[in-house]
Amino acid sequence: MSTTVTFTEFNGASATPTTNRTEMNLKSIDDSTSSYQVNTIVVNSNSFTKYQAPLHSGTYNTLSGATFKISSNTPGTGITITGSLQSTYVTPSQVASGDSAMSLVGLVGTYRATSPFGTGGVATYTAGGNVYASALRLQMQTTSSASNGDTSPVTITYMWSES
Amino acid sequence: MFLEVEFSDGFILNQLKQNDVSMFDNRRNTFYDIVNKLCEKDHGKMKRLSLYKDNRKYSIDWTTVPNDAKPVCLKTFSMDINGIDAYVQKLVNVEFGYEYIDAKTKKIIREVEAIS
Repeated sequence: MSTTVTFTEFNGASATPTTNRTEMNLKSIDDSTSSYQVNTIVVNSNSFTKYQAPLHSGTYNTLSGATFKISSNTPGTGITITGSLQSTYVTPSQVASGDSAMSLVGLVGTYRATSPFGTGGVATYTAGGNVYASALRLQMQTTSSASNGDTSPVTITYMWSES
Repeated sequence: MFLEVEFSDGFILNQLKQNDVSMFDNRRNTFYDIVNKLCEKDHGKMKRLSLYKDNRKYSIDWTTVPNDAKPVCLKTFSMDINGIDAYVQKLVNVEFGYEYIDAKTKKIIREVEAIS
């Protein structure tokens, strides 16, 4: 028995949510639905930043330990995937986010009801009801040495504990 | 995987049979009722706490644990997102047992078993 976790993506100037996302592909457009294959990232530029947050639903006693990591933050020559956990939403853009390379060992987040953005996130959530974990902001940044085509696939892992 | 508790009047609280919904707050789960001892008013003290997982049963005789002990059942999950598979959540580990405050040191003592 456990909570059900889905991912919500936020886009546009007003952080419009799209629930039940099934991929996190990075691309040259700020939306939740179009294919990365027709919105490719031009060499020596960046993807739009992408914000996705886990949403827990169902019953539980406590939720804690929200942690995000990536299997590889350099999926190809001249390509870096940056990442951070954000409680403030900034309209996605292709300007370099300023984030470090996404962590291979884990970024530890918090929980907040209603929205992942705002103050008051807590490490251990006990209030019951639907709740978001921190929003993960990703961006693919490339240099002139990046090669054509798909990168090697990488895996984002979200871990948590519940009682 | 599910929990089951037996109380002194013979009442059995089973997480599956409760559909993992608290009998006192429908936003909470059965473990909320267990850890806060919400059934003891009607059914007396806990006698046994059991965890069933992968056709194995892990039981604690609750009459032998310290008076102020609280049940521990902490499940750790992971979910991989790789653009290929659907987002699938996997149970990685369960810590099952109890914790209590040591009367002399005032420190929390955790007596738990890691079940993968």
